[in-house]
Amino acid sequence: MMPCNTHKTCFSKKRLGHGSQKRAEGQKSRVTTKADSDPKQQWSRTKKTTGFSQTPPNQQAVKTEMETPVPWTSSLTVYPGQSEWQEYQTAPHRRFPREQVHSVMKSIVEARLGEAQYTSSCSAVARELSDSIKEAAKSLSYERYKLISYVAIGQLRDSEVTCSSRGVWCPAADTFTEYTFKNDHLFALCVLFAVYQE
Amino acid sequence: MEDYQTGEETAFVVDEVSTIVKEAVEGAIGENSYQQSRVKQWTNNVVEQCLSQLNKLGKPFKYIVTCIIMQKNGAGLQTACSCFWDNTTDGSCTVRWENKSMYCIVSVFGLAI
Repeated sequence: MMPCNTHKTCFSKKRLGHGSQKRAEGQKSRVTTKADSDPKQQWSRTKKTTGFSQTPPNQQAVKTEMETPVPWTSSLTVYPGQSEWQEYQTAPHRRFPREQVHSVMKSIVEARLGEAQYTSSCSAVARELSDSIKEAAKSLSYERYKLISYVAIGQLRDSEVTCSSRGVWCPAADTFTEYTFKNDHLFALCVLFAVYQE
Repeated sequence: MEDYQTGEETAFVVDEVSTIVKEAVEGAIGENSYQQSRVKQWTNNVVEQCLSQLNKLGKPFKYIVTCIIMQKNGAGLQTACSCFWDNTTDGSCTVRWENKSMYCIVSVFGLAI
């Protein structure tokens, strides 16, 4: 297997695909892969790699093992010429629905805050709102999306507030939704980021 | 010969990220007084500086950085976040900074690829 010491950003999955093509048939080799601790992710990868019901007659399966297991690696069987990333799903079937989540956020925030005043208990209200928005987004059941719900509640008292956010992500799959609420006493900024698990 | 990345190289290290954020905020705002005409540029500079330094770490993460700057006028501000992710690989870091005329709250979220 080709070493990849000089490229810190060369992720293990890329090295894996490269290495398996150069491996000779019938030889044992050491291949590492990054495994998620999320059982759902592990199951979906395993399902793809064990798609063969029996070993192809002219090929010998190559068992891969780590002698000293590292927490994020796992052992799996790779057939010569096959990369387990061949059918890897790098883009979502359904993109996260911004408009739908926006209307959900609006209804949750308006129901909770309404004509509320800014008090010291607003920290608990902010936590409660962020949890509610996250749970509502989860209930839409968009697979493999990680969610971050961010809520800021501030007092209206002649202070200026400016908020800016930016991300490094995949614009085709990842997205965000925001909603700003305001009444006579306070304002609330709610942002939900949805990031696809590649 | 290392054929794989070690756990330390792929983990979200809060202290490291916190240092990056503090340096970005000090560099962008420093001891400046609050100016309404410049605050938008400051928030953009903080966020962009944070992202560029985080990318230089070379870790397999997607990053989201949020920056709030509020004028010090006696008003209160509360922030909260709730995340649905993988606890073992993902992480976040929030830094609160202030000078004589404003507060700055920066949140960084790192999501493993």
